[in-house]
Amino acid sequence: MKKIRYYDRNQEILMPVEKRTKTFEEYALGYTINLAIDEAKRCILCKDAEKRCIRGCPINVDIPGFISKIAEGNILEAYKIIIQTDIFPSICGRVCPQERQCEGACILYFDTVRNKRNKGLPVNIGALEKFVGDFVRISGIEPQVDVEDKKGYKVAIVGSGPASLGCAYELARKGIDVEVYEALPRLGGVMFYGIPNARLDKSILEYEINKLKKMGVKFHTGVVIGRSISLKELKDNFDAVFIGVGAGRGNLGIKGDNLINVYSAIEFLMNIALGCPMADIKKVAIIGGGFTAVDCAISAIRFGIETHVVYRRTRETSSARDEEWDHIQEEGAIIHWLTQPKEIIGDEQGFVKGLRCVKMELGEPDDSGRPKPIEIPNSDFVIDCDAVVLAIGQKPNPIAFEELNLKTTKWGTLEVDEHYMCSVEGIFASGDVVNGGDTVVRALKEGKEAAKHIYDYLINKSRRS
Amino acid sequence: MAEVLEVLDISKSLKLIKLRSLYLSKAKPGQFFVMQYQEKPERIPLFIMDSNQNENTITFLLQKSDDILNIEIFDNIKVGQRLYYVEGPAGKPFPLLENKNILFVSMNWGFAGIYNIAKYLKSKNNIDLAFIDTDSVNLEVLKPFTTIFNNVYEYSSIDTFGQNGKHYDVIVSAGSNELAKELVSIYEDKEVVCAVITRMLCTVGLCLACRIQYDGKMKLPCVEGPWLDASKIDFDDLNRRHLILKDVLVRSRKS
Ligand SMILES: Cc1cc2nc3c(=O)[nH]c(=O)nc-3n(C[C@H](O)[C@H](O)[C@H](O)COP(=O)(O)OP(=O)(O)OC[C@H]3O[C@@H](n4cnc5c(N)ncnc54)[C@H](O)[C@@H]3O)c2cc1C
Ligand SMILES: Cc1cc2nc3c(=O)[nH]c(=O)nc-3n(C[C@H](O)[C@H](O)[C@H](O)COP(=O)(O)OP(=O)(O)OC[C@H]3O[C@@H](n4cnc5c(N)ncnc54)[C@H](O)[C@@H]3O)c2cc1C
Ligand code: SF4
Ligand code: SF4
Ligand code: FES
Repeated sequence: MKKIRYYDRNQEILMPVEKRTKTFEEYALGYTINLAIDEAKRCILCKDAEKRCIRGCPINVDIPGFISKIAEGNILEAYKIIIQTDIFPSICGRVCPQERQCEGACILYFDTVRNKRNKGLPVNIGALEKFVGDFVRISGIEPQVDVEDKKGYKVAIVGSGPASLGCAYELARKGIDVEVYEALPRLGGVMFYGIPNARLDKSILEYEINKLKKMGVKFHTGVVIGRSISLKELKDNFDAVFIGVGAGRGNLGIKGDNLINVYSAIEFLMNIALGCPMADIKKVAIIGGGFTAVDCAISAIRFGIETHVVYRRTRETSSARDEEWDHIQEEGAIIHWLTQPKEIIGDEQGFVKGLRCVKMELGEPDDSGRPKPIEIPNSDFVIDCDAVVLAIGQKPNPIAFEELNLKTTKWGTLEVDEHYMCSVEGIFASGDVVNGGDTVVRALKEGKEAAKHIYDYLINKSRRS
Repeated sequence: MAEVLEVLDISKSLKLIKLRSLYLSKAKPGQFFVMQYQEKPERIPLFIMDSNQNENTITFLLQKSDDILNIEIFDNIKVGQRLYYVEGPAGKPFPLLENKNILFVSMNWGFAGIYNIAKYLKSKNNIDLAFIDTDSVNLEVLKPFTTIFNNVYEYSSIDTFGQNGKHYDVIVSAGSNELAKELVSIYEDKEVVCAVITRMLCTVGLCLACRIQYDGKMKLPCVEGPWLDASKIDFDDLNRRHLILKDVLVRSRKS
């Protein structure tokens, strides 16, 4: 029997730290073909992979299916297998928190059937998926997407994040005319204005969006639904409407948040993504422990700013990609775990001059079963800084849907039924605006699922009438 | 991409510009739009002065400031050009008022916002204009647009501005936060509505860059304004955050 290679996981080649902290170019340089084939050979192609890695993947990529093709050296075939479920392998391979998804459920690392830790390191599924996507893109091969005959329906999509793009792809494939309306000048939602170029090169996004354009999807930028066009107008002019406006709205809410140089994470990241002018900052304290906080840190470091990250919990409870914490630490970020920010302190002119914090320790588990952080008495201290970025809790921005009074939950997210339909017939929604904020791959999946229900709705409606 | 159809020099630092844009032409009085002249520079909020839905066009006023980027745009914008990006209309339209005596107070480019609202409110209200004539904005050249007002009063600066003895129910100002603040103290017991000027980025309520303190709470002028009750605005906070921030902005960063 073949020997199981538990430990020799191939890591992607990374740009050296000194170099990568000075550029917004991608620093994870990916696999060479030899490394990819070698890593693919580590996969033992579990027969029950649906109970393992495939189940761990929110969009259920046929992982052993595509990996076995890489091992055979047939990358194009691997690509075809992935895009049956995940249309953006280059993107998901880069941004998915794999350790909590596919890789966290790889048998070499964790036996999900017996529910126990195994001794090895998971197959590097993310890097393999990224390799396949990049290989096809760079080689210039244009895999054909079969588009069905036109069905004579048109659907408007609001927003251009992963939920919207997934929905657009699925509908276009089925012969539905799709028009996407995006407020910002560039398409992609958080993938454009949030995730920094250093983690996801914008040219990849452009490539994927071009594929949709070739399938006939029409994109309009600079159009704010709720302002440029009302939701009602869209509803009247299209057979159905999909809302994928995300939950990117920034959040504040700490004493001192109106001082000069206090930013929401979205303002900070959007400024950079759009190339807008920024204040000259020397030391920043970033509050939060998720994707957003890490992305702000990556960006700040690349501007030569001394970067502190302040998070009230521990690394284990963070929703960001695990390896990213190592990366920013290598790059010089100072991470304050179990630290609760209390107040932003300003000088006489109103400029930020520090962040007062208190140390925490883990106490009894709370309702969710996670140990609850509690304050350590008299552990106050001040982080010296001239800017603060708040990368905590986001909520949906209602401007697209407030006018039709669509039902929302107490968190401000849109209420939908099991078909992703909102409280008004013919209007559908998914992604962050419904789930409150999760991952790219989940938004993508839910966008695709909503598309299937929209399609059924259109076909059934015409049968009824 | 919006095409520039006409550029008219109003004075050495003010231009009247006509654009073609389907969506912007549907703007309601009091709304603004966002212009990105090229891909990289910032996003500039500008009032829609007039719109024509049949032609799909709008006009707006562009004022030259001492900011290098603004100067570059001001000096180079010409007929036939396609702007990188325009977005909008943004902000809430001005509410419909009836049977009121309204004094519009205009300074700088503020005339653009005021003209659009005044035209809309004219038939049902009594409207006057107080025009603060600075070096940059010359009332002579804007004359054709001022005929919609019942009376026009001219002042050389905010300092010389004074009540004209007439009774007004509502004062509406645009073009300067300093002016709005001044009007609140001059017309203590009256409703003073102003177009608040803050730094804007997303203009759709996502980024919180434009936030101001309003009646003790946070308000986002890009979606809840720009026309707000001036007496509720914390101008000290606004000036601190927005005027000082303006000075510390640097543009030549790595991107
Ligand atoms: C900074 C940051 C980093 C992240 N990093 C990761 C990561 O590494 N990996 C990961 O899996 N997830 C990450 N996430 C989460 C992930 O990006 C989101 O879950 C995902 O993008 C949600 O997709 P969406 O399509 O629902 O909405 P979004 O991506 O938010 O897109 C919504 C779009 O709608 C547009 N819009 C909003 N209102 C209107 C309107 N009225 N009219 C027209 N257009 C409108 C917005 O401009 C935006 O482009 C990150 C999130 C943030 C904020
Ligand atoms: C609702 C509204 C309507 C407006 N209408 C008009 C109009 O019709 N005509 C007109 O000429 N001007 C208008 N303005 C003002 C115009 O947006 C600013 O003048 C412009 O953004 C740049 O400022 P500046 O060149 O005068 O430079 P300065 O005021 O010297 O500022 C320097 C830098 O600060 C930043 N900054 C300053 N103000 C803003 C802002 N509002 N948004 C984003 N960044 C900013 C920019 O980076 C700018 O380059 C309006 C502003 C608002 C908020
Ligand atoms: S889509 Fe994401 S979670 Fe699924 S296999 Fe790919 S990298 Fe893993
Ligand atoms: S669980 Fe791991 S080893 Fe098994 S098929 Fe999936 S990736 Fe391969
Ligand atoms: S400009 Fe972004 S919230 Fe107002």
